[in-house]
Amino acid sequence: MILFGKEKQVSQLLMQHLEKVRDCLEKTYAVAEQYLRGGLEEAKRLGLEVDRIETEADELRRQIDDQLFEGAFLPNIRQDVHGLVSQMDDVANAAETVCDFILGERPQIPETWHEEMLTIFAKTLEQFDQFQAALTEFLEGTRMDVDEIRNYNQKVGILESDIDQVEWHLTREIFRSDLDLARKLHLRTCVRLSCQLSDQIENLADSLKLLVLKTQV
Amino acid sequence: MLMDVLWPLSGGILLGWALGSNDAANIFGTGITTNLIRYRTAVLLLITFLTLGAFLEGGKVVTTFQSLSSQTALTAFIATFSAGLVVGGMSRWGIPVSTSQAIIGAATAIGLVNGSANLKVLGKIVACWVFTPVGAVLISLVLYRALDALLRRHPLPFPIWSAVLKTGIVVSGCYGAYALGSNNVANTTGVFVAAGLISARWAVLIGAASISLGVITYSKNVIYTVGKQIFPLDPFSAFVAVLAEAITVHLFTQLGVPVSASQAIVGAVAGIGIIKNVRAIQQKRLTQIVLGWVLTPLAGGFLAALFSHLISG
Repeated sequence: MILFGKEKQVSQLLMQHLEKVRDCLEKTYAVAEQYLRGGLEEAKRLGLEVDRIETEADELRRQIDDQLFEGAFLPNIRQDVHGLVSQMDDVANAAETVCDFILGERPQIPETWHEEMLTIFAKTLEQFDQFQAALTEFLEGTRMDVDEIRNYNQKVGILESDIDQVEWHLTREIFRSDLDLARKLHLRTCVRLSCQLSDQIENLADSLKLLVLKTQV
Repeated sequence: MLMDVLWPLSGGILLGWALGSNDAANIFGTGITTNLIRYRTAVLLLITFLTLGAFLEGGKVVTTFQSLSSQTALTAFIATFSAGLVVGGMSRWGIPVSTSQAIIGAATAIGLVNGSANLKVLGKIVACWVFTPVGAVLISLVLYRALDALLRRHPLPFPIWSAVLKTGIVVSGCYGAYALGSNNVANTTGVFVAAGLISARWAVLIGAASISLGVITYSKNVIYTVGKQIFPLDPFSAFVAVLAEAITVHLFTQLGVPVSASQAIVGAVAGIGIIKNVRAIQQKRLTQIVLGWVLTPLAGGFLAALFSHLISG
């Protein structure tokens, strides 16, 4: 319908952007996996993929901005939609940063910590899937089920706490080990950057919660 | 011959201009100040639907002026000129004023002076003034609850919810303009029909044109100062408030009584405040409305009686 034209277009662009961000996270997980298992060349190839997908996500964000400027959504909501898209883009940027760090700085991660590192990425991906489900329900659900959105958002929070636990454990192990200080600090940076993804996804879920609240009478 | 008609009508045209410049804010204030609708688009919609309302139903209120008191061309001019002074003066001092109350006060005073005032009709009008904000409160309460229940039972996806609200605010604004035209056009030229100077058809035409002129030439400042003060509301509440105001004013059109759109919107917003358990309207504003019921028609009446006395020597 012409009446909902701009809003529908922005919704579609948002969903496409969401897919791109998920792709970035999935490929970043694959980069980490390949790197830890010794497949450096494959990791590099995947790193270039992340770069490409992140650029495509940027382009989608610009298109969404254009539509918002042309009057999609209520004026007081546009700011929130713009903020949400920017935060989603930040997740893609952060994923690219992680890939750049791993492939550029080549952190030497002892094998005993490989599984925990991969757990961070796996849970981050799971966390984003929950957010994706929440946003899909918000934008495309035939009857926007607020309780379901809240459930998904709650799971995002729970997974973020799980990742925090892993980060805390890993950090403790790193600084208890016999590694030299420089290596410890480098590894800590690697862990922190990897876990930052889940913090940003939790912020995304909070922004979505605010948007949902604004639609409630 | 034309001048014999034009010079007394000038009072009505001036009053219509004042009405248009003041009342636009009540209808599209929220849409414009929240950047939902451009000022130019709002003005175009306002004058279109205002004129439509005036043409289709403005005659219902014109007959009330005919039955309130008899007029001549001179007294009709005095009444509209006096009402215009009251509206202009109180607006200048930042006091909310009802054009309907000012002109009714002036026309009644003329009727009391010449012995033709119909106090039964006046009583009906005053009762409707009291019930305007009260009715708007009730209508906004019922509307809000009903629409809230409907949305909870059938929640809309976010993009559709946003588009529906956007459209709703614009459509309710158009309805508000229609209701304003149908109810208030008689304020500007109803007394001239009572004087036998023009027909009801010409009255609504001239009235609609003068109100539109006020909207086009002087409403912008009022919209940006008054509109924001009245509408610290979320989009759904703003939509309900404007719709409730439009329904209230339109209902009184069916009764043939000119009422204040400003007081209707205050009542509608207050009704939403009751539901949300917040004070949406300041005590000062409510006091001004109550005082307005008394002071505005008195001021209009006093000036009309004074000018009438001075002219008749």
